[in-house]
Amino acid sequence: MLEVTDINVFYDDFHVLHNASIAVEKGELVAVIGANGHGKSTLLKAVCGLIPVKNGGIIFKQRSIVGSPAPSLVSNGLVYVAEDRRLFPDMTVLENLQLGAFLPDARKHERRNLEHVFELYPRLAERRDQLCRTLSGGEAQMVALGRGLMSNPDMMAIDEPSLGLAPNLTEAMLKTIVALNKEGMTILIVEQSLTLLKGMIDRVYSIEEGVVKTTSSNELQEVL
Amino acid sequence: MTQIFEILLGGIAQGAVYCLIAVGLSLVYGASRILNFAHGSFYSLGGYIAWFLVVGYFNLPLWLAFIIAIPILALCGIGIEYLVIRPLRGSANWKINTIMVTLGLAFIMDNGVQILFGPGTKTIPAFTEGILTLGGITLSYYKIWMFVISLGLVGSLGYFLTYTRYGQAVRAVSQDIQGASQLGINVNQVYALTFGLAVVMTGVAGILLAPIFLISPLGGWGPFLKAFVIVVLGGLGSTKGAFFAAFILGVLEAFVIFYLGPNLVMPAWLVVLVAVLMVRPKGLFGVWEN
Amino acid sequence: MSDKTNKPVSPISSVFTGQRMKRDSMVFWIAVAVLALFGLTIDDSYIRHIFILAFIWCIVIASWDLVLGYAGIFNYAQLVFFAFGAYSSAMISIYLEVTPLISIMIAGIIGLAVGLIVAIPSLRLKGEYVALFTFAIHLALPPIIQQGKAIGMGGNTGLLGIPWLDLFGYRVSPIDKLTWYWFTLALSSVCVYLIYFIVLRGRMGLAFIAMRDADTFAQAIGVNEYKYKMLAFVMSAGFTALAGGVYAHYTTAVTPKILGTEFFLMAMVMLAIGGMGRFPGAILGVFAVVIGNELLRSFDDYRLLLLGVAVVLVVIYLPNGFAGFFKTTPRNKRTETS
Repeated sequence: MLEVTDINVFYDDFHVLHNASIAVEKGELVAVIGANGHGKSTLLKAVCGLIPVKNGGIIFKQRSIVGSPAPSLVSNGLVYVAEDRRLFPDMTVLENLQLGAFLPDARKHERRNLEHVFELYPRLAERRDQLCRTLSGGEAQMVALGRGLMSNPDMMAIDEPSLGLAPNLTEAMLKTIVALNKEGMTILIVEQSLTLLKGMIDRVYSIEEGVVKTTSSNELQEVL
Repeated sequence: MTQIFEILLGGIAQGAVYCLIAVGLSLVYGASRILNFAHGSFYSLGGYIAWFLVVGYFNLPLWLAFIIAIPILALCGIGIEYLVIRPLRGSANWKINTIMVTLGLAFIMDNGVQILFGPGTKTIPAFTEGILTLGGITLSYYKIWMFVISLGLVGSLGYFLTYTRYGQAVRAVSQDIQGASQLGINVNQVYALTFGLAVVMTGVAGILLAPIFLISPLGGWGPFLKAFVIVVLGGLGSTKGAFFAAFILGVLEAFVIFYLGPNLVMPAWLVVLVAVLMVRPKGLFGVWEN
Repeated sequence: MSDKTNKPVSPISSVFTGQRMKRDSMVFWIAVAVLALFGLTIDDSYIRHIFILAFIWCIVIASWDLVLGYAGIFNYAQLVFFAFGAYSSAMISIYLEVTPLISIMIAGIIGLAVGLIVAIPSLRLKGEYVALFTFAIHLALPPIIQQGKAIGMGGNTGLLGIPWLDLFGYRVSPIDKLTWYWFTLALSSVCVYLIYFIVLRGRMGLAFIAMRDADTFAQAIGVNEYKYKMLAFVMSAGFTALAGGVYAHYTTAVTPKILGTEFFLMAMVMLAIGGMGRFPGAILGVFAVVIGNELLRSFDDYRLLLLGVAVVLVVIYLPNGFAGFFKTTPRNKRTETS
């Protein structure tokens, strides 16, 4: 579904990603690991059109998406869920979710997706009219994921969903992500606590100093 | 007693027009963090377009002039956002640079209309005359219309921002730009839209106030400064804040004019502003960081 | 996690105390000397007049650059200090019959005080609020000056018949352009030197660079932001008021026009074209605009329009102004490291 080949990304003149290549097949759950500041988030953001790619190829659903702005990617079915959530603090939970279905294609499925989100996170249904600035970290992460789902995506790029969450919340969060994957959603995830995803991941890439390595199954066992 | 009511109502009518000017300024700041120093020049531009159509060259009725002026103003706003403001976005000093560039634009527009129409003041006849007397209180029909039109426009903007999906997107952009763009909201489009809306609103205010305050090349600076004070008092970027602050200051202005004279309006406004800012450095409704 | 931490901090583009200080100072004073000699070679008193104005502007713009470009305070009340300086020096010399040289000094001190009064509320505010607040002061001042007619501020017509400058017994008539040329050049070069070479290359300059390039870090290592910003603001007001005082005695008349759009626009264009926060950009901007403005005199009606166009084009296409030409490219590009 997604094929990234040899992309290079720079912040000003600082070379962040070196010839990075990854691939995600339809229905897979693929994880990216690596130490802080080595380029995991950058990889996801670059794929999702939020930062420019200097060179290399990105193919999503058989179409090159290098240089496409985020809006067109979202309508194509690729949505990014940010590590820092990026909720709209002075809007309600419901408004945040509705904005996830901003584009016309997603709007057609808005009602169904909203039900799905509330099914997945019943807590959000209770808090639908609450302002997002008053939510706890766990709830905010639910809104972020739910908002991504509202875009009716084919693939979600989820950036460190456990960031700042207590261990029990992390576990609950990752469970819902696995559940989503089981329903058929293709997911590319940046995550540190892979132990919780043991047995669910199809492939792991590790990034070190901006260089991507495929982790073999042996190594994967070690990591876990 | 009736006199106090009269002053109060006059102040509210005036406040509604100030609202129209200030809400636009605040909307643009809220969405794109741009302080548009040419806002007052767009106010004058509105007046000049209407004068050109009604008095100067065509003798059209004023309502038709409104209908023609609105799309022209909208195009001006969107065009300027696209050509002048957008290239600066993301550059290192963009905050100071946008202030500079909008000030430059203001001078271009002010001197442009002066070259085209001369330095003298112009006026448009009010579209309705007569006075309404109710229980000893007199109010001119024109002020009532002014109030209705202004409030109607501000109300529609409020409705748009609160209840429509695109309006929600505008608010989303003002709260988190990256968050908005990763949902597929076209942030640049929102910037252009808000800029266009702001120009239309301030231009309409310029037309509405033309029969009272006259039109002149530098005539926009007064209303602009007032809008400034309103916006800061209400909290930069908060349209709700601008709305309430406009009425507070409009009423204050009416009383100051009656009891102390028109020269003391601005000092009185500034005293209120400084007092409020000392207590709430972000204005009445300001919540945004930086 | 946050990849931003990997982003290299751009090398500090300003020069510190000591480093190249001697060489740059020499260049500066040689330029001043050349200008002083140049004054002799021009016969045309009109051209001298233009340069006199440029020298006075240099003080204003250098002070503004200190606050806006270096300290990063969005202060748009610079001409307020200029007006205060001009009016105070004029009034003190007219009504109290103090010799202009002293009244200009007093004007400078009044400027410091006014600067303090404006700075205290301004520095409580953040970012654009400062811009709004200070610009509001600028726009609110002319009506107040008109009200000040009662205390001898001359109202709309302004103050006329301001005493000539008296240099230790030698009375300098406004027609004596050469003396004025040297006087303003001397004063201006001293002010500019103080601002750019003494103040900004000292601790204060370092503090500003630290705050501008790494705000949080600067606070963490204990740079007292409030103190330095206050100092910069007050100093800048003092210098500007001094320039205002000199201006009053040179033109022998001050009117509320000095707060009008033309002056403000000129000042803005100078800073925009010259470039902020990078010596000598702003100073070059002064000369470019003063000379350009004179060249445009023949298009009188279109002059202000063209100045406006110049601001817009320069800001869009040359965002660092002339100073952009002086920008040293970072030497160690860290593309291949790490």
